[in-house]
Amino acid sequence: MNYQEDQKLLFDGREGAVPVVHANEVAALMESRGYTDLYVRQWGFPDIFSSAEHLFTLLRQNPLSDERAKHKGGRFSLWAETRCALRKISLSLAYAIPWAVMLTLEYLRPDALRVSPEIGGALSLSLIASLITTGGCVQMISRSGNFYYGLKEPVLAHRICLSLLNIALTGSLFLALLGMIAGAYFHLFAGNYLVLAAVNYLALSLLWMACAVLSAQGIGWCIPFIFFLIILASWLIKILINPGTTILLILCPLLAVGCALGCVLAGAHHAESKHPQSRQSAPPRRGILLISLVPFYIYGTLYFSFLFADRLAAGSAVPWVSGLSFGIDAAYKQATDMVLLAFLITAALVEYLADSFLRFWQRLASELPQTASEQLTVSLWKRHSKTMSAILTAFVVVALSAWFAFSRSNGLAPLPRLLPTAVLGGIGYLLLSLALLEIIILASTNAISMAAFAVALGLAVNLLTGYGLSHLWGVQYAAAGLLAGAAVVLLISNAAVRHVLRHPDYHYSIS
Amino acid sequence: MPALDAVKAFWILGIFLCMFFWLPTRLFSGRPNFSAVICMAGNWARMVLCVTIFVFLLSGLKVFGAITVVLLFLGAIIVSWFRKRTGMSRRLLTNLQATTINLIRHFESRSFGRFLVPGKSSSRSARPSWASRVEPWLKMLEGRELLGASLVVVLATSAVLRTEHAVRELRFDQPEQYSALLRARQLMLNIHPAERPVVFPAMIATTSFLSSTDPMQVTRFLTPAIGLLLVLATGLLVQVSARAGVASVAAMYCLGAAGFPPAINQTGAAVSTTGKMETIFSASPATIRPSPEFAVGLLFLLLALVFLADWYRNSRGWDSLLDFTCCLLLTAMVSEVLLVILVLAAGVLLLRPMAGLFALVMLCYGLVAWASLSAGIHIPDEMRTILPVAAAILVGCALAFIKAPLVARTGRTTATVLLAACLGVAVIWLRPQRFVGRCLEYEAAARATQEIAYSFPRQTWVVAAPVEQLAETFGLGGHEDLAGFVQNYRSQVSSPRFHFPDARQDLFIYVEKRPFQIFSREPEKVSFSVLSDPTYRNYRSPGGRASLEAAALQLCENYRQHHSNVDVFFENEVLRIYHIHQQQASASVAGH
Repeated sequence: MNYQEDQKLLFDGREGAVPVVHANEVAALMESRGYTDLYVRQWGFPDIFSSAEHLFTLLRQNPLSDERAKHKGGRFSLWAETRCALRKISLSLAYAIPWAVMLTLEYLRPDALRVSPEIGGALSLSLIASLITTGGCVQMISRSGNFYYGLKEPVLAHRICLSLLNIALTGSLFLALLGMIAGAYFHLFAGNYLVLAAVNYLALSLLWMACAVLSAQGIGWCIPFIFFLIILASWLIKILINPGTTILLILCPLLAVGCALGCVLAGAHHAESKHPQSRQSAPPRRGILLISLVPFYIYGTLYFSFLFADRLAAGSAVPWVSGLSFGIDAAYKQATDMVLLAFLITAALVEYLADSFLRFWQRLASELPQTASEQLTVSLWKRHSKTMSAILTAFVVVALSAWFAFSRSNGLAPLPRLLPTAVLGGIGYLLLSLALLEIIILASTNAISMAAFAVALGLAVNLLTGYGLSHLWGVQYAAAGLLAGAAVVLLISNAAVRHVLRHPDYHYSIS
Repeated sequence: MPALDAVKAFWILGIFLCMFFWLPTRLFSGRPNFSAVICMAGNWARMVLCVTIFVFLLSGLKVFGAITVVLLFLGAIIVSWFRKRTGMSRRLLTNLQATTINLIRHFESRSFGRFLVPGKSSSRSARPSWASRVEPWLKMLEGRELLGASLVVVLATSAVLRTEHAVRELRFDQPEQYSALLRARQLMLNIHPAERPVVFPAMIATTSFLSSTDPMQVTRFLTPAIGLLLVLATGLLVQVSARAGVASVAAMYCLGAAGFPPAINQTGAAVSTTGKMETIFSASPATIRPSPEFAVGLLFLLLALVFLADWYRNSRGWDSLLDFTCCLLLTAMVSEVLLVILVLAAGVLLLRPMAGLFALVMLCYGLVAWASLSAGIHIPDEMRTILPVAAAILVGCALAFIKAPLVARTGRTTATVLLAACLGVAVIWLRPQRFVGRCLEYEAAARATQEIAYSFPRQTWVVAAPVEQLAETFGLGGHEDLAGFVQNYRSQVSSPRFHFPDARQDLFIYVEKRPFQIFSREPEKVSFSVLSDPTYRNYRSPGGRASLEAAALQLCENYRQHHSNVDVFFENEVLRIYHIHQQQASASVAGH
């Protein structure tokens, strides 16, 4: 990059951002991009502050005209809002769509996915493990991918995403091996089931990460398309070859991974062809990048561990005399699947609503004068409350819809067995949906560690309560752990958000 | 098979040592100026108490399982690691961050090879080398080489004699091991956590979960290990109280190698007072062995006295008293009678350690003699098993007393002279004796049950076999008492339409072609309560067992004539196991 390009980048970056009020702010921005005193000497400035002074003067001479801003605002039409929403919810859909499809299939044709309890337990455990262990990597990919694609650096974004994917895949391979050793050591499953579970785990891990890359590339619409394609393909395979449910269950993730990776490569190629100049961009230092992404990794892993902690507790509560090492009770699974589906759909909405809230905050921060901080706080609180109400309503509507849609199925467990789990789990997921909004706000205001702390504490409560109660009173009480954990997460994250919204200007400037 | 058994033994004992001896050194703070052996014994007592309480609580809460045990074990290691490095300070987060950043730096520079290069950190260089660790031990042995060699020989002999059966055979040589195994399996399934025995089964269950081996294998190898620890505790008590190495080694020899009292062939039960007294004083360790749980109780009784004597002699602080309290609690958990003996002996020991030893010996013999001679007092039968320990301590005390006047006459060579004399006596009159085992089943039966348990899916099979198989199969599969089984079905199996009503897929019927004989001949004198006990009538009495096995054989052959779903799963010259694969049950299970 040369001086002109750098200047252009700095000037272009201010669009839609808070106006720069001091030269030191420009200096900080430049330093954050890796500029040093040594580097700016080639532009003829003694140090970075002189360079920042110069740029700040230029910025003041060429303010973003109101007319241009209005023009920009006018262009932010309904279509743009829809695109933004689709982009935000695409990653959540990666989890919600297969879940919904499996659930529908299970209710419409209970025998279609029936496998032996042993293989069912092994596959369930591999699914949960894949979601937990790649949860952090998905967050890292999503964060870094969005950042570099946002900077119009598709080559850099692609390289970083692939590099993270490589690291995560190596980690997954290691964990799969470790899991097989542990499974064999503790006689968890038979050897062939362990191998199948490991293959399934690797395929699913790769699938979730590929979906994260697709979402970061801005082609999140591919995700439902891929799943639709896989459903179609598996239906065809079942009709033509009829290979058996177990083989089909193993084959589906493998096919999905192939499709997703193909889309990732095509997307990367398309983005590169659109921005050919980005090929010369220098990559960031890997160590710095990884260190900056570690909090997101921790948060992602904790978050997914939290989501499935109750299932792990319930699965481990299966009586030893049943002959199974891990198996989730059918009634528990049916009840929590329904409310989890409601949560996954609501989570997509929460992603969008949180983004909308942050854009609202951004707009207020750029429109309101610095003296009107009181007004800013009040407006933000009102919007926050409305968003919370919207999430609450959406969750209740989706959960009740799911309940009424699926409760008519013949394959459902008796109501007295389903209801306690559904109610406890439903309230738990509702609280978690609300907490998710707070977590996204915290993550966007540079307080991801606080979010991670809240989820870690919630996870500990979830695991301890769920594990204890499910063993002591019955498997259905594992959902009580989810409820208690979600309450803790909401309590802590809400307190942190309250603290943030008390001084929104300060937190906005540091974020 | 023996090689595999040896690997299993090493693995189980390794996990046991790791759990009960290595982990406590990390968890419990070191005691300054304590001898290493006392420290180790104290840590062991604390750990056993902690494990027993944890097992009791977790089992009561129904959360005792492999996951909980492994997580607690790893948690304990992590806590001790952090405590050692950060002293549980608030710098935990900072340290975590620093570790993460360091890891990433290593990753970034791809310098994993550096991990292989010996570090230059001060902590490593400050760590004492093996040579410096061994040095104090070598110094301690200076001038006592013969004593050291004798100790090694005694320990080796004890180890060989006590582990001989466990290494060779899977079946138990003590009937009480079956009850310990059953209790351990019950604890592992979170059933009846508050029942006795609890200490030894808790150890079995924890070691079994951590080592991921069957509790039967753990029971098999831990029983001789406890026996060896009992021998060591006896020697330690004599050493701490009498401060006579020879006496300590002699006491260990008497108990460990079953040298004294020598075993005698007793025919019939003693009726006269003299006969009863003779029986009491001739209680040999070779013939009378405590049950594993009672051995644990005895072990902690001796260790409690060791800690008290050490506290008395060396003016130790609260650590010794804490160790004593742990032992006291463990003894109380095992047996109230042992607790009474401990309290009385401890009271006398506080006056004078040697007097405490004598008091212990007198209490043991007195209590058993009183119970044998008087009809009014009832103490458990297992109390008799304390006598070999008392005899060993008595020998130790006697040698300590002999040593004192000899030292005055012969000076420094006393120990050598005494040791030589003891060796002579041991070689000529009191040679090591093999332990007399009391097996309840054929080795093949135990091996076949293990094979069934790990070849067939859990809870899909049932065995119709003698009562010993209940402990071996509990929780893994079903068990039906062979006597009840024969009585229920012997008249029905001839019908081709007959099917066994148990819904499980596979049924195994154990039939002894040559009935297993626990007694070489029918006992001359058996009480009415024993005679009316179905277990005695069907399995212990040679005649009863032979009748039952003949009926079982007839039942199986009749069934075989009219049904095609039966085959022989295992057969040798003494045992045949019929296998009935029930198709209907199989279909119904699959259809679930």
